[in-house]
Amino acid sequence: MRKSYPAILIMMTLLTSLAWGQGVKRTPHIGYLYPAGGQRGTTFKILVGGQFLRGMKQVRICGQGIKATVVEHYRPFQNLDKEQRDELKRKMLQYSEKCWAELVDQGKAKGNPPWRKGKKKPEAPKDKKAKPVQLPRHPLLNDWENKSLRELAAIRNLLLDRRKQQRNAQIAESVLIEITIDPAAATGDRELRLYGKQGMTGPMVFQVGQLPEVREIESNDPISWDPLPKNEPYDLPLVINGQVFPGDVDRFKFHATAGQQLVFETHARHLIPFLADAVPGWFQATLGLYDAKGKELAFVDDYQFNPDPVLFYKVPADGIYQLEIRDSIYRGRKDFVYRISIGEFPFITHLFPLGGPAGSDTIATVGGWNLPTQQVVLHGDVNGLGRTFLSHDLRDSNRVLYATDTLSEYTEREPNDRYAQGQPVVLPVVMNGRIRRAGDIDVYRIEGLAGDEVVAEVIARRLRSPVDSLLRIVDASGKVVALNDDSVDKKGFLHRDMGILTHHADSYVRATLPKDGTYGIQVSDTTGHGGEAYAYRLRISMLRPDFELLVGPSSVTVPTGRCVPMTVYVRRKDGCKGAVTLKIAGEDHGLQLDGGVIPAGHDQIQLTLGAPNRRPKELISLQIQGHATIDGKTVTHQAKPIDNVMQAFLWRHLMPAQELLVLVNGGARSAPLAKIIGEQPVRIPMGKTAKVRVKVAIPAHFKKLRLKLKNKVKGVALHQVAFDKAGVSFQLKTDSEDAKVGLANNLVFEVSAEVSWKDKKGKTQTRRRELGVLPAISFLIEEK
Amino acid sequence: MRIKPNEDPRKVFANWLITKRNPWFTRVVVNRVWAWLMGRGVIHEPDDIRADNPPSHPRLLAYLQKELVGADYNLRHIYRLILNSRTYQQSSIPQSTKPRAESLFAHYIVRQLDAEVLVDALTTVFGPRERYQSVIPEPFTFIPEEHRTIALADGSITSQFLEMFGRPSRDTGLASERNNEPTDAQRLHMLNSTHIQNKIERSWRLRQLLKDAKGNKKNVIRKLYLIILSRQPTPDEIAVAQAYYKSAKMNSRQGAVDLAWALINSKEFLYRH
Amino acid sequence: MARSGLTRREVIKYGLIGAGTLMACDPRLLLASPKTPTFKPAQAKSVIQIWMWGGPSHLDTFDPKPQAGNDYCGPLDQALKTNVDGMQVNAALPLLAQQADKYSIIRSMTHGVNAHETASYLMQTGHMPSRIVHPSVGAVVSLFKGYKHGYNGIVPPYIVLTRPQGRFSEAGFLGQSYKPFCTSGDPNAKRFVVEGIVARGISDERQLRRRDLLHSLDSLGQAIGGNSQFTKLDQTEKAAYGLMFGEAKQLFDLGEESDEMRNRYGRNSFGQSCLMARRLVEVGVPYITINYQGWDTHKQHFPTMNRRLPQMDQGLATLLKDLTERNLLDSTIIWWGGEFGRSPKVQWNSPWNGGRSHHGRCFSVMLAGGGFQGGHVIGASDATGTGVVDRPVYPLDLIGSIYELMGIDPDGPLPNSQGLDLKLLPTGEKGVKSGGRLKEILRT
Repeated sequence: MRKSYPAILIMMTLLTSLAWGQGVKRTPHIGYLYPAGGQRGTTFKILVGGQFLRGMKQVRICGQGIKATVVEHYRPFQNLDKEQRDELKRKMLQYSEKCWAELVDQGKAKGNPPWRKGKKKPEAPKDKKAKPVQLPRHPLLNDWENKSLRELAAIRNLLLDRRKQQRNAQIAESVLIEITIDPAAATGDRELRLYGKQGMTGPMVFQVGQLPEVREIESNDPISWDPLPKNEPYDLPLVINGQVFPGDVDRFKFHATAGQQLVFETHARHLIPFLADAVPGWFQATLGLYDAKGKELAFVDDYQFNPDPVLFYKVPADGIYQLEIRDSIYRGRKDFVYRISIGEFPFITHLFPLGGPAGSDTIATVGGWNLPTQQVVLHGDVNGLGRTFLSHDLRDSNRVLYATDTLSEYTEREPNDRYAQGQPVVLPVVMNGRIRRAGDIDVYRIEGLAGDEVVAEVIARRLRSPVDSLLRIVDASGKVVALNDDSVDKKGFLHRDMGILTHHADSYVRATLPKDGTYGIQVSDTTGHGGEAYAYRLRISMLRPDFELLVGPSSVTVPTGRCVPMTVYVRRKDGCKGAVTLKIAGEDHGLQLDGGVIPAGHDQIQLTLGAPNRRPKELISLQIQGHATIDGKTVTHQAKPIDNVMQAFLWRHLMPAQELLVLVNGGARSAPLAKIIGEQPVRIPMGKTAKVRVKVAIPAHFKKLRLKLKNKVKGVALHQVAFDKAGVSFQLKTDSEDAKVGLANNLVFEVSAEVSWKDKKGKTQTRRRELGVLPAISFLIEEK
Repeated sequence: MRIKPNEDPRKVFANWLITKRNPWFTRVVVNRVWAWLMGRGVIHEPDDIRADNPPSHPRLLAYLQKELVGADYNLRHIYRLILNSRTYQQSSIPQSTKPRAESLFAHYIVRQLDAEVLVDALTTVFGPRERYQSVIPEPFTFIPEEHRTIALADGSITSQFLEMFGRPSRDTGLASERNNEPTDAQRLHMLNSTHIQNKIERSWRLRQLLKDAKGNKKNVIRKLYLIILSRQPTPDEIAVAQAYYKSAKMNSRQGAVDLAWALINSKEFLYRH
Repeated sequence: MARSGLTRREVIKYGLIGAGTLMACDPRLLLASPKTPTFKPAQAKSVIQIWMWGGPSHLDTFDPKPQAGNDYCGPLDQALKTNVDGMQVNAALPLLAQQADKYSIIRSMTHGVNAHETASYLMQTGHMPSRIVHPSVGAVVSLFKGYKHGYNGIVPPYIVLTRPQGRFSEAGFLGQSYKPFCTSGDPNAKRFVVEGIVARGISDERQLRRRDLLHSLDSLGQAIGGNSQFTKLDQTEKAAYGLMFGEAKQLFDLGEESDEMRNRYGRNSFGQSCLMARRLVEVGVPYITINYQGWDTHKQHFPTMNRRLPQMDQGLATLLKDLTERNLLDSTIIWWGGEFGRSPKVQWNSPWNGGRSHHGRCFSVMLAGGGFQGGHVIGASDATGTGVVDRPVYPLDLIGSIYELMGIDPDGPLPNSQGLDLKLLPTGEKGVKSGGRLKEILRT
């Protein structure tokens, strides 16, 4: 039993909370970062807001050139009681007086401070015997004796204004982190995670920038009721970091000179695409530009279909201008974090073509603001989807997406607005076209035979093109054979292929041609818009079955010698039907994948990832690969890591992550991983049972063990479960109603035990506790 | 009317609506402007446009229509015309007791201030701002305090005061959905609610006024009349107010509060005249 | 020109316009008061609606499912036998368990809507949202049993304790006269400051003196005599002062009740609101809503239930007992419920960490008194409380039954000043589901 001692310890530490939140899993969680980025070549501190972060002692940021260390953890800031409020107000007054005195010395202010009009200067409290009141630790109160008047007023508003406070436990804890970025680090989005002994958080966007950074200083509302000295205007270019609190409006003054072509790029939703408990499910930022007197010069809510506003402005005259950001309906919260980059840096508004053939480079034309060049190279060595940008000394441009394919590619040739003028093409082909102006229709003509299964697919919105495509296949007489506007892969409330898009606008049409002849494939924009940016790629081919794999969650914590469940989603394209076999690609670090076969016809499966019985030194970056046989050939794809996130209490999205990381925690050594004895899949004859034996070491003191099915699978039921010293034996029997021959799936079983303890009154209480998950067992129902 | 396949049908509709040959649009617009300013449409109710509900002054309506078209639909021109007219500038004291006098615009129609205008007026007079919020879009919406109530864009963000004083929830979009009839609840609110009491007693403007007057009661009375009723008090009114101070043995502040209270509860403040 | 001798002005003068429009209607209709239908005689005189704002969890109250396990019950996984055989409630409501003979539970309430505003509207009007904004049950009762039907109580006929629901128009298109009187304030505070009736720091003497000041400074009113608007305003002023100085002040003074009585109800806002509701019933107010807020527990569900269910249990159980002792329960309908229930499956994952979301597919409502028999369970939900398996009850069935007991014809017309041909409830209309009125518990 000695080998399982660490296992006992693990089990015991997991059973700490036996009070109210019994079913609550204390998964560490990051709600936001503030600021959500920084300038390379600098060292600075950021705050991570979230829950269950105590013990998260290490930081992982993907990519090179960044170092980060945890400085301090702050508990949630509870409401202050009366003594603490009074102490806060007293100290606030003391520091404000000090600031005022300094301003007077510097000649920036005269006479009495505005809060003391007509009253005498407050004397020091006489009662020296009074017990000093302890104010709870809070990041805002760090070093507050040195803060300016304005910052003190902001602290007072944030901590004392009860009306607007909406306590949210999910973002209430904070961790202070110090970050150093190399001067040569690559710019763009990184992923930040915290981890420690208890586990690892999910990823959060962290940006590496080039421009100097500032943090907003509240209060910076357009009309401030606090009598404060005015804020100094900023100099461009810069990045402004801020948070929008409830009802908050942030306004910034800056200097600009005539002729400047300024780009104001906001990243708000970009930082946190989906909020589970907000309606609408993200921070909907708006930007307003005003002159020095406050007259509105420009206002933007979105940029094309992207909820984050981007403003382009040619400055007419030298002077001071004002920029304002807020939520479109005046909501706000600590996790409404934004970064606004302002300057004369390049911004690409359109790209053509939107991709090229795989294996070779394509030169694309770009348009936009402040571009150093009109051309950019789209490298063909990426697998499917690529990213490019224009590098620039001041600030690299925004990232633009492009796609590659293995088929021949051609460019659209106008005029092709009507069937008669349609551009003849030969399948299979990828056409790069553009809806040049409002009302433009592009027609391509193909020859086909009766019975041909033809697929036409638009790839546009997925590459961030503003086109909202509409596809039609028409025959020679003009009759519509097939039509599609939006083709979303959606299951119930789960959107499987939208990523962080707010609307899936790409069309997909699959049609069996009714007779031999010529057919027209028409592309148009549903909203009737058009322009240079309205580019698309159109794949026209026969059926080309293929698949895409998504695996989640992207941050996995698994104790030594144990398993955790994961989900793999298969997106089957053009009628791809077969089974997909998964395995860990490259170095497996002792990790084990169980249940790694997705049977034919399934579009998702639950499997388990098991950890070795020795704890590795570092986080493991995992690659999972899947292969399937399509038309006699083996096709392999990497699984992309995703996180299944909720939006606005209801919808779910598979949000892409950059890496799949595994943290093995628990004891340095443990009992070996459970093992399924016998062949897999377990073959169950229809109407009968099949025996299963799992070798697993469960400490003897856990009583009344039970097995329960964790994933919903119909057609099979548990039967005759028997635990013994070495493991568990049970039978699987077909559940007559839902079972049928050929049914295959994975079963993920959870082991639970009854635990008892004595409560405050001395009475013995019992509860059922989950101990862990067995490796996934795959089954197949056969003929008798 | 042909709508081309690529044409946005809304543009076609909008152009048809405002074409000069279409009399209805212009008629409705000028009638509504008249109704807003005068308290009653030339066709009454402003949404009740139909053949058997004729205008009370057909030539007036036709004239205003022509003016609007001639000014290329510049509404300011219509406002200027009406506001500069003798009809608009008439006194609200009726000259005739005939029952039809009001519907024939023989005098300025007295009517209660709209809810939003009333609360903005009280805020301007006294100071403490209204706070509008909504708890349905999480996290909650808090309208910035400097926004005036008349600028509240969302018809469902409201307050008890606004609902009580007839602000419609815009369910039907009809002008008649707004009901400015006096009710018991409104009166009770103006006379005795915490909301109004707070507005007066916590008013920094009132405090400032008292401080500046330095104990001169007559100045206080004059200033209050100016701020609230936009006019000087008559000698009789000054006498009544001064008598009140004496009779009640009020201190300066309480007296000012009560006087302010009486003025905002007077018909002169609550009604457009 | 007006149609029949009555000018629009005279109609205004008689103050008969509720919503105010004079579109296409015969002014004579406006003069006629809503017809007192020759319907069944009323069994109930008052309704106390306990509106559980946010949607209360049915598993944790009147439809416990102890067999469903931790995933569904969390820590509230015990059911309690009541003093009625075969009827159980969640163990979190021990006092109500002893009063089960007085109330009945509907476990198969359903409408399938999970959005707050739509569900609130549906549960309180019986209609789905459309172009017309229908009045809620309270406004309808106020219409049929209010001032125009001989109610001359010292307070308005429709009272809300204490705050309005927000984003819900109680009176709908009927307009202001049918809006409820919201007391504001807190009945558990030292002084229940009822809006407009009790004012801090102003003595009665000062009130009267400054009223005289108001009258003597009424220059405009004196200049324009005989204006109908001004006459109406003067009348409202009289009514307002009547409320301020009349018996309403004493009615709302909970200090008139003994400490023992106040303790029985529970010294919290809800308990004292129940006591206030009983007092209002005693003086004959036909409709009272206790707007019990804070049941929208997406997060912190179980700690919140731990704090609030004992309060609810005590207040409600005492109200039932107290009304019975005063022989008022037979003429007072108690209606407990919210816009929907809460998801039977607990959301243990982040960010809910132990919360329940909305569940309009199947939830519970409790009814007592006024002609509703106690000790019955209507309908049933499935093993986890997720779906209805027997006898669905739709909002219009529930509301129709309440109308019946109040002597209002549920299938009859909704009288209104807009001349619109509307029915009170959409029973029988195309696409509108109904499970039938609650004949099982309606005392005939």
